[in-house]
Amino acid sequence: MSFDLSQFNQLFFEETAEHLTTMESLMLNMDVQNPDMDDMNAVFRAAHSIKGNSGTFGFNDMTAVTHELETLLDLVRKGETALTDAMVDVTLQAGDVLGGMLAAHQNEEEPDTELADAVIKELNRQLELAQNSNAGAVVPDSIASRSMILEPESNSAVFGSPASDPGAINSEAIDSTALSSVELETFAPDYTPSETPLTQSYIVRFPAPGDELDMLFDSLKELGDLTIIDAPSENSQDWLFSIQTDSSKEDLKDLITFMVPEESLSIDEELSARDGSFGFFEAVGTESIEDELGYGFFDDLDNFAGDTEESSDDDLGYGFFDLPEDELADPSVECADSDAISREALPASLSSEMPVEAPDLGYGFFDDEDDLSGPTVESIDSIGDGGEGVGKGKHKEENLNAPEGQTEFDGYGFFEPVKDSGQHNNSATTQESKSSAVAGSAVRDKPVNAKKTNIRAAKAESKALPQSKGASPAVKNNATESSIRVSVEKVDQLINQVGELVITQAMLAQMASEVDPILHEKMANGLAQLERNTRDLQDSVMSIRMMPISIVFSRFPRVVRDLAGKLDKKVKLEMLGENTELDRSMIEKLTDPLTHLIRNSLDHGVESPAERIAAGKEATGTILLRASHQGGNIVVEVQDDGAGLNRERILSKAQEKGLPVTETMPDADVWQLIFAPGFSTAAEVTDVSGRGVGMDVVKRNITSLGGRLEIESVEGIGSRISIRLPLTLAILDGLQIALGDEIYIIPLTSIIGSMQPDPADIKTVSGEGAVIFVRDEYLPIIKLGELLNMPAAFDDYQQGIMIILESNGKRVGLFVDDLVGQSQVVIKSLEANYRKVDGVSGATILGTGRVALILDVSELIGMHKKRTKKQPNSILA
Amino acid sequence: MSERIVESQDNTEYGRLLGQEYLTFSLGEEHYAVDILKVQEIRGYGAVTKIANAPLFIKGVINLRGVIVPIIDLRIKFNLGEASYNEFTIVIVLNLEDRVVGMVVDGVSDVVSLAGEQIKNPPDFSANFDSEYILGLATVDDHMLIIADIEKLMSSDEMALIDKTRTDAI
Repeated sequence: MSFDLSQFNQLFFEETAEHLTTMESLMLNMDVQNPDMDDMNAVFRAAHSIKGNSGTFGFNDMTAVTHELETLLDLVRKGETALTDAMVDVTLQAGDVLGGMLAAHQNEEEPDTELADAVIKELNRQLELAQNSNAGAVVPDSIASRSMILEPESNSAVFGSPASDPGAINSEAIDSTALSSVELETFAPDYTPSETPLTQSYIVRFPAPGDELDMLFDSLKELGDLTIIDAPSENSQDWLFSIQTDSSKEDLKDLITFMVPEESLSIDEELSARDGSFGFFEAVGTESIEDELGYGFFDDLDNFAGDTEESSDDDLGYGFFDLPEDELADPSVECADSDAISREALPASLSSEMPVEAPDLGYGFFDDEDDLSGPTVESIDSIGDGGEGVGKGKHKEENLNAPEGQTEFDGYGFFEPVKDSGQHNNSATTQESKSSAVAGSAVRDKPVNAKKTNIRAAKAESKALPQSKGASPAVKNNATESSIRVSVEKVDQLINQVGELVITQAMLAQMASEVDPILHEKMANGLAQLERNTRDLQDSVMSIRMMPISIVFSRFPRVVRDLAGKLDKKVKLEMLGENTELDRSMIEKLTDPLTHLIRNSLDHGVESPAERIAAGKEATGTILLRASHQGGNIVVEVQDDGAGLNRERILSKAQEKGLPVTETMPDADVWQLIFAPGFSTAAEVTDVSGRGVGMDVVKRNITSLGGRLEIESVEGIGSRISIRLPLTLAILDGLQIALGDEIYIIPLTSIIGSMQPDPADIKTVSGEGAVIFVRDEYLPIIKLGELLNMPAAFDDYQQGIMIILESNGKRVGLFVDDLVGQSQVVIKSLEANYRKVDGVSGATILGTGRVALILDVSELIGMHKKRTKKQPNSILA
Repeated sequence: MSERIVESQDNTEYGRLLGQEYLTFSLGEEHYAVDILKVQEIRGYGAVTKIANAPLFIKGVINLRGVIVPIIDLRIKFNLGEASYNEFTIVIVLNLEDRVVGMVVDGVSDVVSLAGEQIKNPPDFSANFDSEYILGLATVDDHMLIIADIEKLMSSDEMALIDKTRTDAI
């Protein structure tokens, strides 16, 4: 059955990217001293899923990295070693490497293997460190595992948990790899990836044979990923290494025995945690029993025929005893000497398995409960059959499993399990367990695996229910329907056209309002409906492009963390307004400038802990990242409580650079100097910043978005850089006001209220600037007509309307002629064909077809300030 | 200056024979011509929204099928004719590179085809209409046609149409 897995690659990429993001964000939030175990488990599951998925899809380089990562995480997760900062770092680093590999695979490029190797090395180093702290416990445990059969029992139940369970996973993996990878692949994209890597890790141990080792290792490396755990030293004459490969153990053995005497070689399936839980069962071929009793648990099927009875008993472990206890009685009876322990243990292991397994259902691509419920029943049924088959041995097997060649399929279909377990059972019964203890444990292990397989099968079935390949395209369709990729131009076009439609609709409505509504009732109704529909359409279309800024923000905790570490600074990042929505294209273009500003704040702004304490500040600096809508603009601020900009240094540097500066320049102009190309006041160039490349690029990027950069800074207190972006496309809720013949739009968000002013409330200050007394405050009055040099209908405060506006915490009264009404308007850029107009953030087209300008309240306030400053008699600022 | 004329001509022999087509319009007593390929449309004047603090010759912006287009009155800019607005007032909408600009003129006269040799270099003179923005002079039907480099004119600083800070941000 050939099957093209590549059609699912996109799903793999998407899901893996998700897992990586989850991993990263969880790791970043992890409290190293006191890690949250739920989070730790989640990180582990993510890593595990990536490993399983990548193995399934044949991205073995990714599997290799995640395998190491997973091993490390597993130690932490089980509390066997404490989480350290270094581990967090290496996890993040591994996440990056994986992300890079993923991108490379996605673009069908060759991933950077050097990075991968480096990170694997680092992971191994961390692992060793972690293991060393536990080394004492490892040895006794692994030895004990042989003689104390009851001990692994509890382990197997614990290990049965989906994400954590290296033992069970490995045992399954042996099955699936050894038996058939084809069937596995068929369903692989469907169920959760967490359990089934295609490759298997083996722990190999042999005494140092001499000089040919290089050659041996080279050939081993060709088989898969080789990690040397222990080289010969005073303590041990043995080589101990793990290899991750999809070759069978037999192959591995052949290869090594070429160099090493077979008697002294041991190859074991590796528990993912090499930490003392090695081995439930002693299951290795006879040759290794003598010296390596402590390792190994299951043998794989290839060894089946030639191996000892024990190994065949072990294979029973893959049977399908997903049955009530009474049905289980059959096989356990047949399993000769399996003692009562197995039956007693069964419900326990089943029940311990169940709840742990259940959450895992949530993973995978298609985790609809609806999907799951039906098929689950079916698959349980089928596995029930399987169990029966086990119980009754060969007869059932023949009935249910006529087709040849299915022998290899284990657990992934309806019928295969029967054959499989039947076969195991067969061997078990015919060969009669030699060791009751081993047999017992084998049986006890069944429920775990069977249960797991059951659920896995259920998942598989829920996705690709019919066993024909026809199911797969359907699956794919479902997945692709959930999101489509469309070029931004197409969306833009759509948005423009809808904008036109809205305007046309408004025009129609205007025209209709001039005809007699009684005579043209139907038309009025139709137009009302048209209006509703166009509004809905507009909302939908607009929402396509709008995205929360959190998409950009979410990367910064990582940036700050990494950089703070590098610079030996303590920095806390706070983010506000992450849900502020802005245009997608802006989000993309905002990422680089923001990253740069944050790096800048970290490097130049926030001081070192020592300096901060000396300055009487908290050792931990704060960088605040805030996004908000302000007066029809989106404002993104990067604020730090660091040293602030140094005016003298900037000025002297500017003079050095030959920039036109004077000592009396206002601060705001001085600050703007830092945006000049090549400008850097950093005393020395670091790899973080200081080359003076960057701020000019930031400025260029922002201005290309039609935005502005504003800097506020107080020495010793901190600085704030605000990026003010226009809403090039957005709908604005605005209030239409009249001034002379013109209509202006004021964004509703800036409006506090409006009133007809009482002349008694209006005072003048030194005969010039006027203020109005509103709600216990004196607010400066801005006469819009005067400010814009436009004729106003009224000059008398009593005739017009006073609108109370707020921007950046400042309130003013804006005096206009009249209120016209409230409406949603489509913002059009005035800059496309004209230029930026002071006090105006954009334009829109009214229902009449006329253009109306949208006022920018914060700019109006700024303009008013400048004006009053210029008037020498005014004390109003 | 002559180089520029050659540049603006079709390089092919065919183009040379045929010449280039120009839209001619009048401002007061003077006749001007612009490359017809720069003209998007000709429309009436109306429904102009004034822009705050703009120079006098910028009349405001109009809605041209959803696009906000600034309107310039060349008569005011160059002190030619009387800037009156009625139903006969004409706006030539120009499409210059990626910008759309409307200009108010007294009237549109004709489309003429001028071959390269018909266009003479303008003498150096100082006038309201800076010779920098004149590609050449030509005579058609006893009128002197001033062939304007409309692109250069509209993007010049003095038209204040383009945000300088936007185009050459540091």
